Amino acid sequence: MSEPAVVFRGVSFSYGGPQVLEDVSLEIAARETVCLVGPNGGGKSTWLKLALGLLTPASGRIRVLGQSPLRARPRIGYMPQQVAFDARFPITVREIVRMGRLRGGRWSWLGKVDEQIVERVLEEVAMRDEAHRLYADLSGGQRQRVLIARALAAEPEILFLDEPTAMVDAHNEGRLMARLRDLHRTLTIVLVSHDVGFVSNLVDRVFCVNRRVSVHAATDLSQGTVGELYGGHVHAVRHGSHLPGSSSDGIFPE
Amino acid sequence: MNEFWQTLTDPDMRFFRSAFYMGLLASVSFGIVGSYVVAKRVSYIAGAISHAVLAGIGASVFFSRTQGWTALDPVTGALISALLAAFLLSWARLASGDREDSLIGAIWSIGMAVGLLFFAATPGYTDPMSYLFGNILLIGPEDLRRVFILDVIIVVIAVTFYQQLQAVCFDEEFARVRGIHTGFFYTLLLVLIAFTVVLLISVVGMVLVVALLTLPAAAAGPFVRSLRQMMALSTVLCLLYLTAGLYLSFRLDWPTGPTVIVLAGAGYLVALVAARLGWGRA
Repeated sequence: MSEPAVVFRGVSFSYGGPQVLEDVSLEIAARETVCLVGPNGGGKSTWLKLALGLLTPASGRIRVLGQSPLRARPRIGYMPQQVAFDARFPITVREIVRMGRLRGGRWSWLGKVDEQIVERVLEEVAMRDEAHRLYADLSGGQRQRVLIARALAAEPEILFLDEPTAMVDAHNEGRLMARLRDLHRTLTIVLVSHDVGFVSNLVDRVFCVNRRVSVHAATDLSQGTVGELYGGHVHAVRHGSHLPGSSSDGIFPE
Repeated sequence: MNEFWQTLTDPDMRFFRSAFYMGLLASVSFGIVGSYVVAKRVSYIAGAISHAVLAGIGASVFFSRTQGWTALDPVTGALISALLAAFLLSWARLASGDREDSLIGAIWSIGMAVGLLFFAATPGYTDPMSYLFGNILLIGPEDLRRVFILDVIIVVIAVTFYQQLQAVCFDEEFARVRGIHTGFFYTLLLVLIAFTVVLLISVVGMVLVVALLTLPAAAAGPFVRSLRQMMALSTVLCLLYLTAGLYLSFRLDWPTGPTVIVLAGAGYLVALVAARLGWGRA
């Protein structure tokens, strides 16, 4: 058994006010695909920022791939939420994916090997034919795949995807995830989402984050547990279920 | 137009020729750094840096008149205060977090206030107008040499770190996760802005210089497919505005700075309309 991909031990964090995360302990095994869900403001984003080393915990210990998050960074692939960007930024798909090859402390321009990797990951998300296009001209789903490709370009051992369902329909997203799973069998994938059920038959476990964290096997996740977590009705979508209109933007053939 | 070229070569019109060469050199820096400024959306920070420059200019005028510090000429004073403002503003972003906008406003107006106080305290009459809005009669060969050196520094830095600066402008958080020292590159960008605004103070003045930094890049925006192309196109536009502005101001006897800026503004409007009509990038 290899060491866990992510370990949180008694981690608490606050932005100066009330605690956003309280005494969080969890372990994500290597090669596992997990989903972190929870209501807005429940601490999902904070959890992610802690795992990426963008924030430092007030107390507790975090290990990513057996190292501190800062040291683990070269081995981390990260896809942020799309809303964070200026969509009018003049940049092509390929140029964005090339950013995934950047590394701190490396001053040289990208080399031949870098370019090959960029082409390969573009192919993996089926965006190679669109590589010359402007990011601004893409659909939400295409942008998503560009950002996933950029994360993969780092050749990561662990992939953090923030709100991957925000702009695309669950059906296509599920297929993309399944394909990534097949291509990268050694990859640990952590999805962060406010939309629960979409990948429930793709992920191994679900972590519910609402100041504290509870773990559920993906198969156990019923409408009841989720409703309890959110304190209301939740629309859960199962991968593979028929979604009206989802076939029109089909990325991959069935 | 002939008259214009004659003027350029006229030995008695040295200042005019200097202004032209200065524009030629500075356009490259303005195109490159202006594109970063527009892409990163820090025009207001560039504004604060350029206005704070008056403090340094005022201090240099005051100390050279009263203390005989001739080494402290206005351009050196401007450069020092611009760098100081750049470091303060990057500290505000990186260390203090909130209240960044208040500090931008404070540096903007306190810089000007300090400068005007120095001017008031300087014995004899000194007119801050030349520094505020530019005066090509003040340009000497020494200025041209300095602009050349600064220009080379700016271009070398901006080109060497193109990928890092582009990543920081597009998605700072991702760049951080990739291990890029984003704080360093943000500070570097503000230092580049500080160098750049000082270049053309004598031509367009410190109040108007920000427009020349941002308007060409903003006008280029809808027509380019990369930051690189934005830099190239805004360099050309900047040179066009400066040359045409110089020519028009000479022909019509208008002040050069405002003429250049009005042209840049008109160019921006034309670009906006053209982009709306669908003449932008396909």
